[in-house]
Amino acid sequence: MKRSARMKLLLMGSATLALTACDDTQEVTKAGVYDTVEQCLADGVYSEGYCRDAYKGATEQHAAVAPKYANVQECEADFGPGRCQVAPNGAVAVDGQQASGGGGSFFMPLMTGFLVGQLLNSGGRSYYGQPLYRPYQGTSGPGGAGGWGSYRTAQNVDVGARTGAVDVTRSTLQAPPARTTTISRGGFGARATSVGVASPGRSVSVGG
Amino acid sequence: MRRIAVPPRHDWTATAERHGFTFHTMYGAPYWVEDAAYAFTLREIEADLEAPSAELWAMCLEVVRRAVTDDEILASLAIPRDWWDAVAWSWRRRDRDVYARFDLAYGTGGPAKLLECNADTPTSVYEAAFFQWLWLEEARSRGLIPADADQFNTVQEALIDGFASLQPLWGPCAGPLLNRHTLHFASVRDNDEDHGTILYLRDCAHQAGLRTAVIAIEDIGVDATGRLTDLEDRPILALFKLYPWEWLVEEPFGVHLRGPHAPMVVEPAWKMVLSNKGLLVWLWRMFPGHPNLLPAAFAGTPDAATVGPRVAVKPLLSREGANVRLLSPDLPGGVLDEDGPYGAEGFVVQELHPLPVFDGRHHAVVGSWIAAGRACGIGVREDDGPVTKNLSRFVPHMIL
Repeated sequence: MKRSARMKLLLMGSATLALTACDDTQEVTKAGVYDTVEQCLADGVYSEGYCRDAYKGATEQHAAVAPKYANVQECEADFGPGRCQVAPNGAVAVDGQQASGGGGSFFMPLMTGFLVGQLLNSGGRSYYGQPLYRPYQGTSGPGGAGGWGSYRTAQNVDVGARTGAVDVTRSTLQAPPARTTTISRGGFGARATSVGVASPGRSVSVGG
Repeated sequence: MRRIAVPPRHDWTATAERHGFTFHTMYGAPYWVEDAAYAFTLREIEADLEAPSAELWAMCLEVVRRAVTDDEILASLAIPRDWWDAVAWSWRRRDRDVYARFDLAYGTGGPAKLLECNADTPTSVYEAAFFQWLWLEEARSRGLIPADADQFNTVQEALIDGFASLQPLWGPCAGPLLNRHTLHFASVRDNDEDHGTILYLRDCAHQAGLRTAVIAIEDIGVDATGRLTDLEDRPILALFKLYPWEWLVEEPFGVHLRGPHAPMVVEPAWKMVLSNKGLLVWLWRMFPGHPNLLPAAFAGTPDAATVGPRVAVKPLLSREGANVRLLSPDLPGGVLDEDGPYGAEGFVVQELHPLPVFDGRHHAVVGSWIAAGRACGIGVREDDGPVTKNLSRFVPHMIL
C-alpha cells in the first residue's frame, strides 16, 4: 500500500471543539506558597528535593520574568521601600523603554517567595517553581493603612496572602516564556499588500 | 496516467467544511474537483515519479551544499549580500526543513521533467495530504471507485515526522523545557487559502507533540532587544512562516531574522537557494543531461540562446505562474504572457516541455511532495491553459 493506513486532524475543522473541551489548563490543582526552602520543608507536603528544585527554578526565572520599572521610585511605590533591585542589562521596562548603554538601569521587585506545584506533561511529572512578588500598599494608597498585599506571580495572578497550601489553576503553575514589551508591530507584510495578496476578495496565495 | 470520470460524493462540500477545507471554492470557481480522478499504474508512481523525486531532492541539496561556499551562485540568485552568511549558517547548523513540492511535467511519454521547485512556501498541501486521502477512503467504501484503488500519499505522516525532527534543536536545554517553546505559524491576514494551509500544518505539528500558536504575519512585533513578539508580548522563539523569504529579507523586521536573537525559522534560510528559478540553471549546470531536468540558463547569458526555440521565460522569484512568458512557434502569435507583479530580479530561460492535455482542455501538472526528506506523495492540479496558476483546480489521484 502506497498510502497511510490512518490519518486524523486534531485541531482543524470541527475537531477543534472537542479539543477545547478537554483543555485542562483551567483545572484547579494544589500548590504551595513559601517564603523560604525551610518553610517549604516545615510544611511537610513536598520533599526536600522538590522544595529545593522549586526554589532554584524560581530564582533562575526571577530576573527574566519580574516586572521592570524605569526608576526605583516607581518600583518602590508598588513593592515598598527598599524592596527593589537593579534589573540585569537588556531588560525592558513595563512602559517599553530600554535601559540605555549610558548607565540607565531598570528596577524590579525582590523575589519575596516562590510557588511550588506539580505539573503533568509529556515528559512525565515535574515540579516547577515560580517566583512570587508581594506588593506593598503605602498609607496613601487606596487600601488606607499600609501593608503587604497578596502574593502574586510574575503574570500578576493573585495566589493569596498566606504561605502554605493554596488552590491554583494549572495555567498558573505553568511557567510561560518570559514576557517582553513590544515596541513596534507591522514590520512584516508590506510586500504581500503591494502585490495584492492580502486584499480581500482579490487575493492570491503567497504560496505556490 | 489517465483522467477518468468518477461520481463525486454527494456530500463532499459538507465534508470539506467539516474538516476545515474552507477554500474548496475560490473566486466563484471550484478549486477542488472530484467528478474526475487521475489514474496511475503502480509502475508509473514508483519508477517515474517517486524515485526521480527522491533523486531530484538529493540533487537540490547538492546545489545548496555548493551554493553556501560559492558566492557566484548566491549572487546569481539575487539573494541580498548581507544575507549570504545567514543562508550559509542555516545550512551549516543543519537547520531542519519540513517540506517542499516539485512541479513535474509528466504524462506525455518519457521521463518526468522538473518544471520548478517550491521549497519555501508550498501550498496545496492540505488538499494533497489530507483531503485527497479522505476522498480515496470514502469513494472506495461507497463503491464510487474500485475497492482496490490505492494512492501515493504518506504526506501527512512525513509532515508529522518533519515537525517532530525540529524538537531536539529547540534551545540549549533538553527535557521539560522544550514544552515551554511554542512554534508560531504565521501567514498573511485575510487569505483563506494560506490561513487554511497553516492551520493544517499546525495540526501536523501538534500531532508531532509541539506547542503551537497562530499569528498574522502583519501582527508580529519586535521588542527593544530585537526579538520578535506575538500579540501577548511573548517572544517568538520559533516561527513557521508561510511568507516568502525574499519578501521577509526586504521588509523592516527582516533584520531580526538573523543575529543573536533571531528565532528558529521554518522553512530555514537555506531554502532561499531552492525557492528560486535560478535553481533550475544550477541543477542543469551540475547535472547536465539528467533525464528529469530540462535545459535552462539565465536570461541574457550566451547559454540562453542554446536552450531552444520553444522556451518558458520565468522570473527568478515569482508565485503561482505569475509573469511567466512562453515562446513557441506553436502558440498563437508565438507568445503567451502571464501578467503579474514579479520579475525585477531577473529571469531564467527553460526549455518548454509540453504538459499532457486531457479531454482537449485539462493541462495537468504533477506536484510531488518531499517531507522529512522523503518523496512521500503526489497531487495533480490542472488548468485550462499551459501555465498552472492560482486558479488551477486540484483533482485527486488513485493507483489502479
